[in-house]
Amino acid sequence: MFKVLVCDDDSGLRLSVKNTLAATGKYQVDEAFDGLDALEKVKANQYGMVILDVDMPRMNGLEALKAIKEHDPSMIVLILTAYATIENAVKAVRDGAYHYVQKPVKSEELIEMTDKAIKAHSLISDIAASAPMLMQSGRKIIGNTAQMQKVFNIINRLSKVDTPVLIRGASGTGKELVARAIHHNSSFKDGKFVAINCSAIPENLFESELFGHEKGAFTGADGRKIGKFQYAEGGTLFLDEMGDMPALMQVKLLRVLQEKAFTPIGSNREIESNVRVIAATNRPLEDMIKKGTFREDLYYRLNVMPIFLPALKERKGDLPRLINLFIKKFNGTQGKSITGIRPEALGVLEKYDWPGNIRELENIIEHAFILEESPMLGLSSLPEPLLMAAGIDLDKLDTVSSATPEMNQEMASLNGPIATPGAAPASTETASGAQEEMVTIGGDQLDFNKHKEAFEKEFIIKALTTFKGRINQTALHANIPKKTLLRKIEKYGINAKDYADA
Amino acid sequence: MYASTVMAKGAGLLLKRSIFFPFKPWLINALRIAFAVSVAGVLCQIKLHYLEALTYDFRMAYKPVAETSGQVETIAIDAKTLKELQKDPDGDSHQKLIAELRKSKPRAVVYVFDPTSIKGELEEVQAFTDEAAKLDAFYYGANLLPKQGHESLLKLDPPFETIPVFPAPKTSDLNIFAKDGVTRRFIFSFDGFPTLHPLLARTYNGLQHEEDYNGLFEFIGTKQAYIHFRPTGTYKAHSFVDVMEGKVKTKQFHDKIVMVGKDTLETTKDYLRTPFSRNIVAMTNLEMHANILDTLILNQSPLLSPKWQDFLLTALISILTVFVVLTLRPTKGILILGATVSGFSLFCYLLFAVFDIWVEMTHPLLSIFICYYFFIPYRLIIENRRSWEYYQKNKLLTQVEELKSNFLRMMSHDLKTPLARIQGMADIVLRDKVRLNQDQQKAVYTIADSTEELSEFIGSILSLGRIESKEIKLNLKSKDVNDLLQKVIDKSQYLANRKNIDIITEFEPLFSVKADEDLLKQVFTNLVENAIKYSPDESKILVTTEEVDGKMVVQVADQGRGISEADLDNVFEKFYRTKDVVNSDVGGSGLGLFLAKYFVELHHGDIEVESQPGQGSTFTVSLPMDV
Repeated sequence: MFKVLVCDDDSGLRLSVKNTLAATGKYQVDEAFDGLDALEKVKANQYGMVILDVDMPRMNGLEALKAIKEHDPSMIVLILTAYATIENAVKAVRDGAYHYVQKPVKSEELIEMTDKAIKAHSLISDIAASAPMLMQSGRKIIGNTAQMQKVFNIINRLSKVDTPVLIRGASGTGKELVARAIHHNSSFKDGKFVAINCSAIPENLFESELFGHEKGAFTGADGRKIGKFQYAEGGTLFLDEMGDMPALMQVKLLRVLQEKAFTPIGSNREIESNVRVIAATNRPLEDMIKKGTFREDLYYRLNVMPIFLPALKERKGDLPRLINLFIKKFNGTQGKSITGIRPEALGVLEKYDWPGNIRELENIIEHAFILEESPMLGLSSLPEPLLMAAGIDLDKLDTVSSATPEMNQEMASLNGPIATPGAAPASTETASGAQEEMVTIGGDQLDFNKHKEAFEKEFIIKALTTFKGRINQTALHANIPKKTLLRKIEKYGINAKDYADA
Repeated sequence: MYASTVMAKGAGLLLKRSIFFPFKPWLINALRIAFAVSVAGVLCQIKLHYLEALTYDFRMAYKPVAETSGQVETIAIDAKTLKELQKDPDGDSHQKLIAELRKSKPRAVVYVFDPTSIKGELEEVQAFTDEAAKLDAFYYGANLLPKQGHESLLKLDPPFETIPVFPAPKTSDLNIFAKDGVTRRFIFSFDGFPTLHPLLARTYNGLQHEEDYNGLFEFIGTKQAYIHFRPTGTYKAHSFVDVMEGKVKTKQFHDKIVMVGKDTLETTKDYLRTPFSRNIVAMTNLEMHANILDTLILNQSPLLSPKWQDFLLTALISILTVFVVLTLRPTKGILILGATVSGFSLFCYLLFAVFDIWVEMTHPLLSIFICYYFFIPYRLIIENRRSWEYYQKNKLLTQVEELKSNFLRMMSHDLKTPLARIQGMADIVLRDKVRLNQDQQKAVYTIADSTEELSEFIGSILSLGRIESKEIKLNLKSKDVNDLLQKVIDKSQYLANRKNIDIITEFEPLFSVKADEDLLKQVFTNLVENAIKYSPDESKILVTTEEVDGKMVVQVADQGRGISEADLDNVFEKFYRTKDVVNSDVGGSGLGLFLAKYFVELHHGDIEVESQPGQGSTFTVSLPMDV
């Protein structure tokens, strides 16, 4: 149970916040009546989160926030106040408050906010497994350890600035997870987290993808397109596989990072951009600079605060701890109670090279979880290739693992029928709707398109007449999309104004 | 309590102010004029000859030198004469001089010193008087003014009894007027008898009557006028000895008035002070007589302006000064008064220099100083008092401002806290495991809804307060309007679902514009929530965005009750609610659309409504792409 401390000098408010959170069943909520009381309780107990009022006797919320953060920087603090000022809000966030909310707050909102805060926080403990290292001007300042407190310090450090971040690490080391953790704990947390894989975008579409384009900017641009930079406005743009970005785009990206503005293709307007960029790569950028495939200036711009994620094979000593972490996680999600891993299985895992890093480890543990029937993960539940790589004789083991593909097939077949019923009623509904209006088919030529057009024109004129030529009202009442209506009006040469006085 | 004390202070201040200024503006002006005129009246009663003489002398000294008539020649017994003759000219010398002069036939020869002082043997003197008698006109201009009955003074003792004596007195302001011993005036006539000068002048200009002469004035039985002085040396005197010895061309004196006098520096009686110089020997009596004669011949005596003019000018300038001091800012006032002083002085100088009109300067100039220094302390008192009042008012305003922010604080804290409590308690009741019956549940829902409505209303009032104190500033950031709208619609979805209203969106992809996220969200929230509020159940709302002519257009159309034509113009007014809405059960503050319009206009955008009763309304917001 997550422990939350609610601090307010008003007992009624305390009670309602406590009740709201306790009703979810996820939180154990304690109360404090002012800042000093809260501080004492925080020091005496293990709380994950504190909800603070601002106006309180003895010690107000902002002072309490500072004191609590001093005691435990990883504490989540929500400020809840009736008298919200921008100055106070800025101050509170600067002092490390996760959020600053104005009373009265709806219970759903409070729960949502609390969940979000805790999720952001748990992201940090998740990435602790990746053992991130923060480098500054070539010096390792934090890292090479999975200790939660130190990882928190990294994230905390990054959350206070909006400089770009460069995450280096092999595939599967959890780069995106680190990016997400930074995003959800930074001042950009209210914005979107938008991830792009640079190696997955065709070179000629790259610019349009990032900056958008105006209608008719190039052949095939038949509408305006919003780029990812605009889409991520106020949030974080995660550029994965940064090393695969084409050289031309590197120049343009550098410009956005420096000028904080970009211009969509074919547009004259420069659009200001307030986006935190996090780039990730596993390619040796330094070598690429020498070869001229990666721009040096961009590298320096991104490399202000690089984070290194070590490969799993370099830290095999962490394996038992990582395995336990995943066992705990899957116990929670799969409803099993596995207590640990047998030494022979661990021995196999330690011999393995882990080209897929933590992601691979997690998959293997999950795989083992499904197969394992005893309370300890054993050799038999490990996948074959792993055992083969470790030189284990497959025949000596029960081949339970072969069940896996069958199970997957079963799952797939189960999913199949469920999808269809949803679509069926919808189609019958439209059919019955169409039957209501009977169209008389006159003339001797039975041309479908001709009749359809005649009907459309007649219908639109009738609708326009009814709604006095008002496009919006016509679109709304007659259930035609406004765009379609306008297109048809143009097509049939109808002048909407003619029906204004009818 | 606090408010009432502040109010009372304010009222007290107003009361004091009304006591302090009990008069109407026209009355205050009349009082000012009256004061200025009486200052002028009193001032003009005071004779300020000495000061006036200073300005007169100044004007006289610095006016351009006028041409002389050329009819007056002077001969001086000067140092050269004494040196060459080795003595005072005796009868013989004078006889020679007259004989020489006779050759040129002067119109008149006038001795301006006492001829009886001529030394010499009786025969010599007799020869001189005989010679003189042969002249057409030979006079002795005597420095005396015999009263009636004392005419005997004008007879000389033998052997000079043949010389006709005429009064030609020298006057100095010794005991009267300026009392500085300067000669400025001359006597034109006494007891009706003209002095020598008018008699001589008359032979040139033919002006017979006193009235023909400029600038004459009465003074204790005499007619006097001011001398139009020319600087010393204008009438260059011929040396006695030169004329006597025939060294001067006789033509020089033909038909002219020749004056003979002394310039020996033996006694100051032969000299006088002039407006040009206070030196005791500034000018010889001889040259003074020449000046007097020329003044008369050319009729150039300065004309003193009458008393009433002096008073009028003084009064006008006093009034000006009073108004300047009491109504204008000090620097501006000083500038205006300075310009007045110099302008008036220049005016007087020009009148004197060009037209020989003497306007008195002392009284008007003095009145400026008197009025200025009389009212400056008064003005200071007023200013002081006013700044004290401003200080008090400022204090009051600060208190009001404080009161207002306290009020806003109270509004937000003291109202919102109990609201939050009510809402929280309602939630607790609804969450409770003990199920309520349907009526009870409905009641609690109503409580929850009402608190929400009230908290929104408080929000609107706070926004209004911020608008009115001009606190709202745009916090512009690049924003995707579609994104904002989607967030607003997602939030309103709950309300819409309760009424089974379908919100249809048709968004054209739009590039970001600079906008204040919070304000625009409030605008869109107001529009969408209004649409939901005023629409019947099971209806539809269409929200569209598009780019038209470089503008971003957002439209929210509903199928609600619509707005009557009479109300259309007013829906954006503060606190305005249409009649049928007021009569319905739909709650509202009448602020939503006002705020929406205000916020849109802050972005330099427009908001419009198009509606028909019963057919729904369409609200259109258009925002420029570049704010």
